[in-house]
Amino acid sequence: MFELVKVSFFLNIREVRNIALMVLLPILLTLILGVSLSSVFNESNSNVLSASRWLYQIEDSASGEKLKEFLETYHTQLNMEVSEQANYDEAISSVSNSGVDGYLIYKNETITIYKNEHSSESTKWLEIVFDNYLDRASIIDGIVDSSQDLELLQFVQDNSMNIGNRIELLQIESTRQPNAIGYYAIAMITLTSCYSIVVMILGLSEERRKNTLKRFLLSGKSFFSFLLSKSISTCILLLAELFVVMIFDTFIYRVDFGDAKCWLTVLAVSVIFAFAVTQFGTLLSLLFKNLMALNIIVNAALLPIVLFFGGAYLHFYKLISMGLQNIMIFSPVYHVNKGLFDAIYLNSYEYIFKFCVLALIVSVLLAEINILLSRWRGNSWAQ
Amino acid sequence: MTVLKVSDVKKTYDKKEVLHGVNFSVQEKEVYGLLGPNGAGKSTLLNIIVNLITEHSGDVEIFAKKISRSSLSEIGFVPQDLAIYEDLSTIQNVSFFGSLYGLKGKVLHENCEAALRMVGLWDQRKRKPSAFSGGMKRRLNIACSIVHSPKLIILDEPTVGIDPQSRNYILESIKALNQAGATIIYTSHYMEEVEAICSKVAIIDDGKIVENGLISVIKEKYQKNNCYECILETQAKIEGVFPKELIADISSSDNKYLITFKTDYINIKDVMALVTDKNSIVSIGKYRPNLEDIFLDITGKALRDGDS
Repeated sequence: MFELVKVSFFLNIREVRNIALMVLLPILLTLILGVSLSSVFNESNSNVLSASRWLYQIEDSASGEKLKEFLETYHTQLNMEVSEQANYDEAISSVSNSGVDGYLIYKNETITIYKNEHSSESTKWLEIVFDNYLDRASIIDGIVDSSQDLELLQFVQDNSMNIGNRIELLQIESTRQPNAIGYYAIAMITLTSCYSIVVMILGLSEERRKNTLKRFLLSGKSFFSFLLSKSISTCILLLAELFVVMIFDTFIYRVDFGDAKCWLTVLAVSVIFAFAVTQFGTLLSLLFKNLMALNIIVNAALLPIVLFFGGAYLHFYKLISMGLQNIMIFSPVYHVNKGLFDAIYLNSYEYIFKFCVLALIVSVLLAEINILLSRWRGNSWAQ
Repeated sequence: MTVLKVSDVKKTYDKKEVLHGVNFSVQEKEVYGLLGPNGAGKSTLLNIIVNLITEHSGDVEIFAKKISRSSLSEIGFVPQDLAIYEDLSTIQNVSFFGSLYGLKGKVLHENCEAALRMVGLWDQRKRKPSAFSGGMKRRLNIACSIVHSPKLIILDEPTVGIDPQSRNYILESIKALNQAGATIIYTSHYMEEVEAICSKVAIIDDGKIVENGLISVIKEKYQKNNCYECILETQAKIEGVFPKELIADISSSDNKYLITFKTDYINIKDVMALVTDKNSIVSIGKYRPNLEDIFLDITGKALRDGDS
């Protein structure tokens, strides 16, 4: 099997298409999209995901429970994602890395908000909401200043705790900031991983067309070991190509991928994701008779749709309705991007770890289906 | 020793039976020809023999063991279509396919050299097949199939569409492989090739073997007592040599005539008694049919594409 992995890898790197797809495309698109859409990532808007992301720590008290309930119930209307973070240092680190927009602490009936200088417009709006949540006095200013959701402000006004304390804002200096190039560099890494499906399908197609697959089977090797070898060689190719892309991004585009741990995470996640993708490609290949037609369908329809709805190409939430935003969660690309951002800018590996576990489970399931299919279609597929 | 035994093999595609209980066996060191027109079931039969088609009835035994993935290392199959990597060099191709059989290191290198020398490509080992002629690619195709020194080599029309020089090279290589101890199964559209290298043949038509045995025995069997080959003097005409009313059919090429009489004549003397102008005859004898004639006789079909 090792020999086929070696030869497949060798043949793959000789394919100009593969190099163009998996090295030149992400490098060029990162530059083109990053520069052309950099206006979306102006200084006051560092939020590259679909919602404002907040961490909170709320004391155990009656008013604290009320605030927590408020956050957890209405965070969607507030266009924010919230998660509890009791570790102060980690939370502050996330804010300074620009991984989140703010860190909210409620203690002694006072809300303290930590934010960095890049916190977005939405953060200001949230400050007004929280401010009004505590004291209805400034509601008019809030409406005038923000021109935001009147209905929501009305709700806040009606449910105000009216405890008289004001909000305390603390600004901390951000050390890292995802800019447009940074965002697209990560998005393009995900895109490159997705293109493993094309490499896999083309690889299988070529082996079948050239009859070399027949020779492999004639040597007594199983069809599944052939498929596994091709998947492994595709993933190794991806790893090598991503390494080149990341080196280029880091030293030419000055993208900050974080420390060595972040680098390794990006590469490992990409390979795990690519393995799941190649298993899916194998499944499609076993189901379709005409692999060249399948390749066209994947290139022209499947990948653009999955990537588009995963937010890989565009800064999405600014452009589409909430209904369409809800579709994004069905695209694995969205989760890879989000997970990588968590890891790089939030120092949080929980989301990406869960994603990797899920991707591995899916890979194993797909591989099992492929074993069954390869036994069913068996050697006739090779002919 | 029986190298290959095929017993009552049947295969159905879409409810249509394409092999109807095929039986034959190949002995050690034989060169066995498998003949049949397109669509006769040859490729299906070969794919069953090499375990590429596993769903069939009947048995295939290699060296007295039922065919399985583990016994495939005993077989070298040369597919009709080229099965090589054009982006790898000649030696890389052979080496890769050798490594699939577990060969490595010095043994692999020695086997690669032997295989490439056998097909006359050792001097071209560093070149890529993309720069090769069709004949050279076919020779490389053979080298990739014999690198693991199989005891049974199956060649599926290895000389289709190549120049005479490469064809001769391939035929000589096959003879050399046989002399080195390999058993050969050879399919081809070219009867003269089969006659030149095979000792036994099986003729397959419509999914069944219609004739099987030693070529000399088959030729003897299909020799006809009313068919004679006659060479006349340049100016002589056949109508002046044999009474017209005794002849059923005549075909000629230059001054060479193939005469089919209306009745059988076992002895040449009986035929000579019919001759009216003995001086015009250069030579005369019973016509010995070649494999192509026999094939046409048995199947009613020509073997090569385009013939009818």
